[in-house]
Amino acid sequence: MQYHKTFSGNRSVSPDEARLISGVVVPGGTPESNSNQEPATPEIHTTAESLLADGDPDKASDARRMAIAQTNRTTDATPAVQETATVTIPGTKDKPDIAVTVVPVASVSASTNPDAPKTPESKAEDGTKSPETQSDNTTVLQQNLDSAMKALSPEQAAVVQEFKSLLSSDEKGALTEVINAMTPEELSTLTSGAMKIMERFKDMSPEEITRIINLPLLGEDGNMSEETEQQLDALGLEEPEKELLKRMALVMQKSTEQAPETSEPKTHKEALEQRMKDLNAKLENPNLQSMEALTTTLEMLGTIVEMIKRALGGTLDESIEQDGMDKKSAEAPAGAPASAPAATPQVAVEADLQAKGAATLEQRSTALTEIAQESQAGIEKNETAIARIGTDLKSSADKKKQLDTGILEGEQELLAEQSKPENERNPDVESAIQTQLDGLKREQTAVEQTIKEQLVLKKKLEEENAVLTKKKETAEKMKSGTDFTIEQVGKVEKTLEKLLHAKVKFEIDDGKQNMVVSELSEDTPSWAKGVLESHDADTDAANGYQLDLKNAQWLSAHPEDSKQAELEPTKEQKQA
Amino acid sequence: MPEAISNITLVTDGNGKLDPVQVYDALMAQIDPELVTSEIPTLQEKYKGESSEQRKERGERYKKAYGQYESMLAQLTEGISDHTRTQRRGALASAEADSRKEEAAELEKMETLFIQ
Repeated sequence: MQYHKTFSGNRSVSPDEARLISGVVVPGGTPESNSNQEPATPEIHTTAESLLADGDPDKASDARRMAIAQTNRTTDATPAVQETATVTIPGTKDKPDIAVTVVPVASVSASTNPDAPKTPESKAEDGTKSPETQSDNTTVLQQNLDSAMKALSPEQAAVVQEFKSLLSSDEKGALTEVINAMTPEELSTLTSGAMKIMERFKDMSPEEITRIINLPLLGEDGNMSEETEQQLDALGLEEPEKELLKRMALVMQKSTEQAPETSEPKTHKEALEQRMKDLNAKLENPNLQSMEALTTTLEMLGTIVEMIKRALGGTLDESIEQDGMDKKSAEAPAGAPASAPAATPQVAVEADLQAKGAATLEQRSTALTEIAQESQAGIEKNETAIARIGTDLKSSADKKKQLDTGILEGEQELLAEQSKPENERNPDVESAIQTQLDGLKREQTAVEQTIKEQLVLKKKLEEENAVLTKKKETAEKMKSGTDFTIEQVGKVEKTLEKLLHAKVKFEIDDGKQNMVVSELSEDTPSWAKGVLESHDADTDAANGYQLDLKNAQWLSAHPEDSKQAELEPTKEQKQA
Repeated sequence: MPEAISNITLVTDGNGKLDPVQVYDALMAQIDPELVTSEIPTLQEKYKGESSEQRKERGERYKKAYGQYESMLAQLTEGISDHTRTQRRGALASAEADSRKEEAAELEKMETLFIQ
């Protein structure tokens, strides 16, 4: 056997050395040490090419092993890749250039850092992965995607990020589950597919990327459309990669189908909107009994009252959880001193609303727009002033630097003059230098004072801007809630008009929440007439029925009892 | 020369090292797809009735393919080494620039404290 032919250096090496370096089984090596390696290839020091010198194609398998052994040696001697690298291999006359993208899976070895992300190749001897390793698949994939995103322009990356943020928590959960269940080989395939897509995205416009990521991977029948299939081919994806994407899309599709049952409203706005939708759906049922219609109408009124209350109080967008926490934290411990309410941005906005005399929802909406605009104008004005102060500060600092230098030079000059022998000293010169120095020092004090004042003013304006920014955000949020409520009130008016066969109008401001029902027709249900008559605030049907919703006990926190009480005494209702 | 570019993606292990089989299959698929790992066991069956001349021709083709593979492998590993070197130099330069920036910020801070 020729151990000196092409092995890494010019010297001959022993079979054991060769095995250690190349990782290829050599006759004579112990079976244990070679158990995980490729089968033996006797001529390990010849090249794959020379193995085929006699033109015997049946040696292709041995040549392959040889080539892999050579690759093993070469890649071992190549520095580790820590960040995605792209290498272009020039093509030949009949083959194109090849762009090879090398993607590092994770940069930290799990053996040196137990908290480090696991890699696809870290698996048990039976080829499966431990649950611990599996749970890290998503992290590994995410790291690679983050790394690949760096190669995209900010506009391209923004499109991809936006897509990610559009995924619901159910979809994300389902994806995490399916990715974590993948074997190392599958994860490698998926990573490779994802990298290919990112590579192509680099040369695409954000619009093109948006079009691609919005392509439905699967149709309603659970199959991939021809258009999508072609697009994935164009992206360079191969069958195993496409299969994995399909698997992920299927899981996401299922999670979306299940989502309506599992998603919970997070804010009061969402919860109230949902309740309103449910009640509307109930009222649209043609087989609805009058009793149920009455109950549903009352529930609807209760819901709109709460919506109005929250819109007026600016708490519509608050999270339900946060609200609960706020209530808890608001419960002061026994004996704790009562404190004045903090000057929150909301208090400031409310004060402005009052000053503007905005009472109705519509007036509040307009006033809130004005408040947000005024805050923005204030912010911009302050920003201009801050920028001007910055320029002034710079020139003051330059001036101070000049004075510092002048003073230092003057003092040195004075010292030099004072250090002269008595017979060479000139009191007039000394005095002139001293006078000049005093002048410079006075000027220095004045400049320092100016700088101090400029800094104080700058800080004040910055603090003011922080408050204004919060106020603007609060006003915008409150406006959004108010507009939402106006829209909902309009919808409820229409729904009730249809239901009651009468004209319905809500009169809402911060002092009252009235529902005025007028122009009742022959089709107005008798149960509705009963409720309207018994709750008419001024007991004068001539001006329509005025229902004071703000003080309506029958729309209290326990509507079931009050509804029952409403239902019991009315004769007409029983007949209906 | 054909205008299109072939794209290959290779994924390293946790230590930034390439898997030799993955490299072999990816590069060989570009040279002669018959010689990728999954295809080799099917060759005997595929070329059952070939003449001795065809067989010799095929042997020559394979030989040439492995020669090309060796050259491509060398270019790939050289490219990776170059990339890593450039990256290290970039990282060092960036760290130096950061350090200079920090120093400048420190000096400015001291100056502000002084004038206040």
